[in-house]
Amino acid sequence: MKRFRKALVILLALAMVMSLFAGCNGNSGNNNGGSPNNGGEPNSNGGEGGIAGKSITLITSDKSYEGQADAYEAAVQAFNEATGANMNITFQGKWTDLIQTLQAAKISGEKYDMTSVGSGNLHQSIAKSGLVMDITEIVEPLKDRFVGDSLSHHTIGGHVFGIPHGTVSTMGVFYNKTMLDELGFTLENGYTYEDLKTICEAVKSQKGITPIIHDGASSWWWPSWFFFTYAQESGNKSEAELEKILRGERSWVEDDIIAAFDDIKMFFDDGLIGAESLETDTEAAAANFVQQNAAFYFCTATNYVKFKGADFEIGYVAYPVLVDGATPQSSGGADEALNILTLGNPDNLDVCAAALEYFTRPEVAAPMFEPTQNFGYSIVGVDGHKTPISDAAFELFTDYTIMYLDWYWAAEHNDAVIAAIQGLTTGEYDGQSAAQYVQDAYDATVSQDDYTYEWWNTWTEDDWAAVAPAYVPAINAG
Amino acid sequence: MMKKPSAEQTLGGRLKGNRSDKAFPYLMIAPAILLFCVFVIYPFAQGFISSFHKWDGLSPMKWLGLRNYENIMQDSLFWGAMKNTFLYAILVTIIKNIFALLLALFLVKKVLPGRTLFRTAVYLPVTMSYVVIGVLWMWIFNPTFGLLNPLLEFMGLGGLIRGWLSDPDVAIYSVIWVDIWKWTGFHMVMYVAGLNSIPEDYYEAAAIDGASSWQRFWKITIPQLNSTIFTNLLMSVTGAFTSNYALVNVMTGGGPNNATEVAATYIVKTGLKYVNLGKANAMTFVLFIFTLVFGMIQLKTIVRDENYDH
Repeated sequence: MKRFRKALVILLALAMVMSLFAGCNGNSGNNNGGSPNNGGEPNSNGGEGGIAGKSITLITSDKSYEGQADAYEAAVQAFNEATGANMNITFQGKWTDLIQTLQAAKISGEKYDMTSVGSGNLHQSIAKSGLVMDITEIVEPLKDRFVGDSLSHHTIGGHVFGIPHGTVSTMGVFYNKTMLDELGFTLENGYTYEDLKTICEAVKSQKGITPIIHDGASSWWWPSWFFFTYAQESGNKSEAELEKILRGERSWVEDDIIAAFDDIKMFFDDGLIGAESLETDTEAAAANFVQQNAAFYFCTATNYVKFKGADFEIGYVAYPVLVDGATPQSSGGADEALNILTLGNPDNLDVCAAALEYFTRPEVAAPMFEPTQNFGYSIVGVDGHKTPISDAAFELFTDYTIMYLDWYWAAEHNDAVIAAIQGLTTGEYDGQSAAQYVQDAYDATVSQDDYTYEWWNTWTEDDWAAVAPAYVPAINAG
Repeated sequence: MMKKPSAEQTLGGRLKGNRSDKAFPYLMIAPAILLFCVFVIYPFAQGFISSFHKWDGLSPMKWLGLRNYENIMQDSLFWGAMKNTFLYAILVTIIKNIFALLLALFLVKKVLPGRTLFRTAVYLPVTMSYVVIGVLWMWIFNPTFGLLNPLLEFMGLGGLIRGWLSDPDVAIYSVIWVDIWKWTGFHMVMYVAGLNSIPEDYYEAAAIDGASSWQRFWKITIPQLNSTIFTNLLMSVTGAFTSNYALVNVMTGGGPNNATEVAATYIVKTGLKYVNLGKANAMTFVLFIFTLVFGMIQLKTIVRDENYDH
């Protein structure tokens, strides 16, 4: 018995020591020793032949549209066949979880080379955390491949941190055209708040339904109400004025901001939209609209794909004119992107650059985007999906859309704006107190977290060196 | 004749044997201790250290001293979330145990037709995930097409209709109700087991002595269920503090206007969304201190020797 015990003691001790060594050795397999300063000469010419046999991993969030993940995998497979490289793609978590995933990767030493960071996350936290590489020079040959100024949506302080790759979006108003025709109304861009109010009153009295629905349970959509009211109350200078506020050059508690919050409250006070939108997520809002429980749905044009089964004609217009002489600007942008991570192996930069070039070819990008059935995409040469509202949405995007304001401010400010608007909908706040609430949140970030809007101006040379590519692989964009 | 002592009987042998005997239990529990240290103690200590730093989880930590804790003291959202956390824990613990005990008293009767069906139905929500339950109740509460408001209207209780998740005065109670609904069946099963273990003789003797139903409940049932009640309360409180994150996150995300924010959701938001892990960890330690004090008071109040079966 005692011999058995002794043997067991030795065995257990050995097992523990072995497991400790195994635990400590976890990362060595992935790191093939590339030095960021070796000049990267062997594969730095970006030639596709030079990247054969190299492995990289693209980590992205789960794709929400049917068939989209398969389309991405097919594109990756085609890239591997064309170049001889070994690119892997990993889908993990929701887009809101991406920071968490990358934090875990950083802490555990996982070698992810590329990712797909939404522009909101990029601006609010990921770029200043040094996770994504400054690829300004790498993508210079590709800059003509992007629609309009969509590359600027991934550019911060003059540095490109990602390339747009996916849908473009704009916020506006879906409406039940059949119902409005029946009620004797037509709706065209340039209509006023009073026009909308008249229609909504007719909808309520004759159809007995809530006129407007909004997917407010997906709380990140609430700031879009502020974007469109503030655009008009600021005289269509909302981006410039917001930047002043974020630099601390002016306050949130000023007349134009207060008026913008009061405008939002007016929609609720006049009964055009009810607090039930606070409890309605995107699927439920779309179902409400399709089942004709609401005549209007304020949301992004990309949601048109959710209206399958609607047996009525759908229209799409800009927001109403709230202020005389103002243009009813929408907010939007090219949210989806491809980025190179600083977590990856620097030796693989040439593979990453080749991937950026390959995936921005229209013939490669088109099948990757098609499952979204969106009205427009960020790559030149990839046509939008034709639907009854696609032309109207594209016109809205090109003529009326400014960049989402939440791509300027911090996540804390965004949550404060959401809470303030929720307070307006429930009657807890008026315009003044809502503006004060956001100002308090802004002050807290400045005093407690040393918030600086133009963080890129505070970065040291070392900070920039940490996100700079070790070398610039040449890309043949021809 | 003197027998030559064996190696184990010599002083050196005994010492060697004793050392092996003493080491044996430690080595037997060593794997568990090792895992505990790696997955509990080390992260706990690391979290505590990071609470004195500015840290986004991505860049190196920067020493801040007590600044994170000072910031927490001034953070009204955090204290609002703490208030909701305690409200949640207290209400959930009390109400679900009362419901569970009443249901157990009702369903323990052997003559009740459909008893098994009722027990299964009440237990069913326990098997479902928080996400499923959260979405299910979101749709039940929905004021446009949900089931609850039309049901109230049908029952002539139209005055009670409201935005169950959009009214800031009501939303936290709606979420609390869902937690109660989910876990009542679990505690009911424990109470049924406790009730079944009380000897019938006690009730028969009390009946002969002329005790009323109420007296039998207070003088026999409750004292005999003492250990079961204690276990249920302990599990309820622990669960209410730790499991509120998923439900709140799915159903309201902490809104409207932070009305349903609990400490767990605010900590996760601070750590992962605001990328401020140092402050999030400081909040975690403040919550830890509060729950520790709360737990100690609860233990002092409830734990008595008679709560345990010997």
